[in-house]
Amino acid sequence: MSNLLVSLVAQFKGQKAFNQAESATDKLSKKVNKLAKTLGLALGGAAIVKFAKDSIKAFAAEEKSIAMLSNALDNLGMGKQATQIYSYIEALQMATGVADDDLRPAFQKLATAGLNAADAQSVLALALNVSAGSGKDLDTVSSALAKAVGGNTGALSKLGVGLSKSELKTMSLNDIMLKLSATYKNSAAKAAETFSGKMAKLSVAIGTAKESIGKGLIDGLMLATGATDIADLQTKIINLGTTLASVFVATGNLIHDNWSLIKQLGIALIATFTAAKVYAGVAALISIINKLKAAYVALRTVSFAAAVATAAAINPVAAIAAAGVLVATIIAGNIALDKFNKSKAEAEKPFKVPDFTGLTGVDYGDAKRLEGLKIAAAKAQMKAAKEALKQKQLNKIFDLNYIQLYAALQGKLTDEEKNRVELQLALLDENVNAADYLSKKLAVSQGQTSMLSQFLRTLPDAKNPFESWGDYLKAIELEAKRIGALSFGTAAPSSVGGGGAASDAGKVTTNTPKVTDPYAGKSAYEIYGPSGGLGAGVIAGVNVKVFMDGKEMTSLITDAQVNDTLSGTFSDINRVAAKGSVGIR
Amino acid sequence: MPTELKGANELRKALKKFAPELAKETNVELVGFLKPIVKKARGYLPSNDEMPSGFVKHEVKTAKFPMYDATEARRGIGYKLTPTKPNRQGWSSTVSIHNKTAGGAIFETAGRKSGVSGRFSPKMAGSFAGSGKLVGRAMFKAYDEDQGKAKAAIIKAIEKAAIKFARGK
Repeated sequence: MSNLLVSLVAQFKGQKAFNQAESATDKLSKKVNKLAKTLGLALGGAAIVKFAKDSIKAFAAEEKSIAMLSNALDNLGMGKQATQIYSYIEALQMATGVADDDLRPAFQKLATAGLNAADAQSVLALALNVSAGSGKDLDTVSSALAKAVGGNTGALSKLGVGLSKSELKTMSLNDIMLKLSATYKNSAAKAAETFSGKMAKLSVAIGTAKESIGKGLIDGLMLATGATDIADLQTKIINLGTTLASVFVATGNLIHDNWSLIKQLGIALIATFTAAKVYAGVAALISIINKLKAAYVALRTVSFAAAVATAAAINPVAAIAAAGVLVATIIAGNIALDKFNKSKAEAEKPFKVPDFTGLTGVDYGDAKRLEGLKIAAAKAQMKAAKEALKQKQLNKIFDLNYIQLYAALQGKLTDEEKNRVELQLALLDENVNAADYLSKKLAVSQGQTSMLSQFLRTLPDAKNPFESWGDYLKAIELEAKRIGALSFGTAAPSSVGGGGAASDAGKVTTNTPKVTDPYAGKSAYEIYGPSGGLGAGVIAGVNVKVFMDGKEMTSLITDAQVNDTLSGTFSDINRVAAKGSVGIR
Repeated sequence: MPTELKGANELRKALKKFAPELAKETNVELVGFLKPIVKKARGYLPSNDEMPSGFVKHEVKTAKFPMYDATEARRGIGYKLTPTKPNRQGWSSTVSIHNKTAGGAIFETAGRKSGVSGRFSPKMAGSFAGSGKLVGRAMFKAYDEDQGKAKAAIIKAIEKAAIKFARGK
C-alpha cells in the first residue's frame, strides 16, 4: 500500500530504536552465552555419545575394509600371506600416517592388477611416495600404477609425475617404476616427518583407538542386550528407542492429566506464603536452590562424567539412556536456576523512581501504572498488617499472661495499679506508643505518691486537744479546795427581800451579808417537794418579787385590758400567790 | 524536510491524559492549519474524465496495475495528528498529511523520476511542484504552495500548548 506523506512535525525515535536494538543484542548475547553454557554441558554428554557412535562407525568401516581385502587375497591365492600383509599395512600406516582404510584398498588394487604380495607391497610403498611427492591422493596414484601394471600407462601420464606419453610408451614397467622411485624417493618418509605428517600419524592412532573402542562398545552392547549378532542388536536398539519414546509420551501425559492439580498446588503454595512468612519462605527457597546449585556444579564437573563413565563400563545401553536423562535434567535445572538468579538479581536492584518532571521524554502511562502499583502495594501492606493483628488477637485468647492481666483489670484497682497492668498489656502488645504513655503516667503517679509521703513525713506533729486539760482540771481542783477551805458566819437572815415598808417599794434591798442556810437540817424532799421542787405546769424558775405602787399597777392593767380588747381576746386579772402579786393571762 | 520537535509526541500524550480540554483546543487549532492544504490538494486531483481511460476504475480489471477513482483518491488525502510509527530511519511524524490511495499516489508522482514521457505520464493533468523528495501534482504541490506557513503555525501552536500545559492552564 502506497502512502505518500508530508511530515510537518516529526520526532526522531532512532535513539529508542537503537536502544531497543542494543537491548535486544544484549539479550541475544546473554541468551547465546547461556545457550553456549547449556550446549557446552549438553555437548559434554553429546560428545561422549558422538565418540561412541564414531568409534562404532570406525570399527564397522575397518571390519568391512578387512573383509574386502581378505576376500580379495583369498581369491588371488594370497590368503596364507594375509596376516603378513595386514602387519605390513599396519606398520606402513604407523610410519607414514596414512590410514589403513586407504592402504588396504590401494593394496587390494595392486594385488588385483596381478602383482604378488611382495611386489604389491613394494609398489604400494612407491605409490605412497608418489602420492606424498605429487600431492595426489593415494587412491588415484595406486589406481594409475595398477593400470600401468596392466599395460595402460595413460593414467600415469595424466598424473603429471614427470613421465611423458612418449617415455611411457618406450619404457618398460620396471623402468617406469625405477624412474618413479628415483623421482619420489623418501617422499612419504619426509612427509611423515612434517607437522601435518605427525598430525596424520596422531590421527591414525586415534582412529585405531576408535576402532578398538568401537569394537569394545559393540561387544559390550551385544553382551548387555544379549544380542547374538549385529542385526539382532540393531533390532534391540530400535526397540529401546520406541520404549523411550513411549516413556516420554507417558511422562507428558502424566503432566497434562495432572495439570490442574499442579496448578492448585502452586496456588496453595502461594496462599501459604502470607505476609509474615514471605521472608522465611524466600530464605528457605534460596537456601534450597543454593544447595541444588552446588549439587549441579559438582555434577557438572565430576559426578556427571564419572557417572556416565561408570555406567558405560557396566552397561553401555543404560549409560546412554542415563546420560540423556541426566543431560535433560541438568539443562532444565540450569535454565530454572538462571531464571531464578536473574529474578533475584533484578529484585535486589534498588528501585529507581522515574523522574516525571518536565515534558520531554516522559511516559505518562508508566506514571499512572506506577501510581496504581504503589496503591496496590500499600493496600497489600495494610491487609497484611490487619491479618497479623487479627492473628495476634486470636493468640491473645489463649495467652495466660493476657488472661491474668485482663482478670486483674476487672478487679478494684487504684489508678496506679491500673496503670501498671495497662503498661504490662501494652508491653505484651508491643504497642510502643501506649507503653510510652503509660510508663510516663506511672512515673508521674509514683512521683506524686512519693511527694505526698515526703510531705507527710515532714509535717509537724498535730497538737493534742486534750493536752491542757490536765492543768485545767488541776486548777479546778485547787479552786474547789480553795472554796472548800472558806469559812462563813453563823447568823443569817431567813429570807432575802420580802415585803417591806411602802417607802421601800420598787427597790431591791439587800440585807447584811449574813448568810444562813434556810435548808439546813431539811431533807431534799422537804426542800423541793414530791416533784423535786417543781409542780406540774409550774415553770421552774426564780421567784421574783416586784414591788410597785398602785398607780403603776393601775396603768399597766388598763393598758393590758385595752390591748386585749383591741385584739379581741379575753383577759382577766386574778390574784395569784401572795398579796401584791398580779398575774395576767 | 520535517522539523524535529523533541518531546512533541509525549506532550500530545500528556495533554490528552491530563489536560483533555487543552488537547482538544490544540487539535482544533492544528486542524485549522491543515485543512486548507488538504482541501487544496484534493482540488488538484483530476476527475475521472481527465484521466486515461485505462487507468480509471472500471468493472473488468485487466491487470494488477492500480486504478484511479477520483472520489477514492480525494478521500485518500487527509491529515493525521497522532504520531506515526517510526520509519526505517527512526523518524515518527507527529503531524502529517498523506495521500494514501494507490491511484492518488500514482497521479501525484508519475513521471517524477523518469520524466514526463512515454504514453502514460504525459496524460496526467496538472503539473509538478515542490522540491527534493516532496515533488508532486496534488498534495506536495499544495504543501509547496503553502510555503511553510502551516508548518510554522503548527509548531507555534504546539509550543503554545506546551507553555499552557506547563503553567497548568
